[in-house]
Amino acid sequence: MNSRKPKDTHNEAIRELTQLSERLECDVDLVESMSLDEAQAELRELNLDPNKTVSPREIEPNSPERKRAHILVVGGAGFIGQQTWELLGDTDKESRSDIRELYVMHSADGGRVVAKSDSTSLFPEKTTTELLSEIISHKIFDTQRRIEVDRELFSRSTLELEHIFSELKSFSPESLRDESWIETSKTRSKLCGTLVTASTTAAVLVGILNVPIPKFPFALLSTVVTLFLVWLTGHVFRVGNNASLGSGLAKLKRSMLGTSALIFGSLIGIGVLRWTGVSSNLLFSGFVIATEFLLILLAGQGSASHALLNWPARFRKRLQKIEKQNEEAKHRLMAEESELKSLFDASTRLLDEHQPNVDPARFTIMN
Amino acid sequence: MNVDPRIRNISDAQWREMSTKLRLHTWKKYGWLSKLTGIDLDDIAQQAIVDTFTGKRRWPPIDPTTGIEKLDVSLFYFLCQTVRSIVSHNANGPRPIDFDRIDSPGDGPPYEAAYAGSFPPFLVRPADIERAAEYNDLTDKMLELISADEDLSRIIKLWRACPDLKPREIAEELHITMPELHAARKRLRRRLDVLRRKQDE
Repeated sequence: MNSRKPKDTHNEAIRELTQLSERLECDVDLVESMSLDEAQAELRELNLDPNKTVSPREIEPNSPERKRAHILVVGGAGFIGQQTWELLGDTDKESRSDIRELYVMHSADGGRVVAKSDSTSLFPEKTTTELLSEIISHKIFDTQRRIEVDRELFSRSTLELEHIFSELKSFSPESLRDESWIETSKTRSKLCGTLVTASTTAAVLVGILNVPIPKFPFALLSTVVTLFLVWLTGHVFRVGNNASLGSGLAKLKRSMLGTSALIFGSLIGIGVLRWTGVSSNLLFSGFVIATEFLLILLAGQGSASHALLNWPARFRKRLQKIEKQNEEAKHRLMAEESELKSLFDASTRLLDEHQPNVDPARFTIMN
Repeated sequence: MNVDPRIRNISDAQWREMSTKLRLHTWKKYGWLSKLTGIDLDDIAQQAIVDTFTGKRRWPPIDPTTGIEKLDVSLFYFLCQTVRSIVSHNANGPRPIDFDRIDSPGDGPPYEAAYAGSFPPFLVRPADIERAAEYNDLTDKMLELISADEDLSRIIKLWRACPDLKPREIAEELHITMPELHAARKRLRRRLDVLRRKQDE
């Protein structure tokens, strides 16, 4: 009568024990009876940060805790935006390729998005879930008013917000409560800008106006100063604790500083070419283009890589292919999600109606 | 924001502990949802806390029939139920149930078809007997797999007799403490890891 093989029974017994174990794992009483250390250890086992908690007082409007605990960041499809999304745990870059600007309040305690910026008050308090779902479905960007405000705010404060963002990762919550670092960052930025302007002006005078100075010191000096500027850019706009050349170069492409450094880099080329006895306008133009291309390649991320993908036709084709695949995957996911949600809603509703005191997890064992 | 004094009196340390446990509960119970949709369950847990803290969800809850506060509902239990509610109504909110789409959980024919079938509906059929035999085989095997652990064996035996018991009720029935049940759960998890490894080999 019983046609089951012993191995089948063995495997099914393991499955049933697993379900029982899972039922025990998520039991409210059991979790509540745990000590804080035990709960943190369990979170660690799930690869979750056990210390990521935000006190509800930090989201209470106008509370001093909130003012100290949250910081404004700007994100979108550019370098800053991608870093923001990655910081929030979203690694699907393709799905946000059309997103230009996103304003969120980011918890200094490590990853919780609580609300939208207070400064524009375009959004009421939203959770990350709501915000992300709206962004993905592009609802947010249909509003003309939102776009206008975005542009205004974005152009006014991009640089400053970039500083805040880049510093955000490298400061502990305690140090974020001390706002003096913002001033320090601004000072460093001004110093950097002044250095670039002064050195570029000097380079223009020396290189273009043909000021007679020895060739070797000129080329050497140009190289040293440019390397210093690249390092300084990476340092000022550092992400986390990595003063990386890559992140510095990505910033170079985006900012005035980048333009200045690009010109300066070209002047090195002129210097080197003159030193070696070659000099022509054609070589100069070629060198500028080559330098720019090299910068984009070296940056390899953020808006630079985005620009690289959009530029030559072959990359554009590849991008279109990726977008198409992504679109298909998105549709598949949405269909699956919709199906799952309707099943989940139906089962929850049925349970609520017929057995309001029964935990749905219990049904997994018998069914 | 008008925060209930009982909630306001909860210290930051208590919130931290509650938040940690709530995150754990949420991830364990709805981890599958996160894997499937990419939803951040930390947000759900946080939203439950925020909603409760701001009074959007009222704790202690009020009994709809008597209008009296249900003081026996712990805040943690309330937060867990709030998480469940948020997950359930996430994104699109509650949807009307299309009863035509709800299939019978079992493999057997629908009720009407069974009634009209060759066997009278309220008699024991051979398939039922076979199913019961399979169930006994299965639970025997489960007991065999964890036979080395006395507490676990007792838990499985009790569960076989009363599948609807909650873990706290199991603990009370077996006269063991919740930490002991917690330890048994960990042993079960370890035992399952070993069994799965063997299965893979």
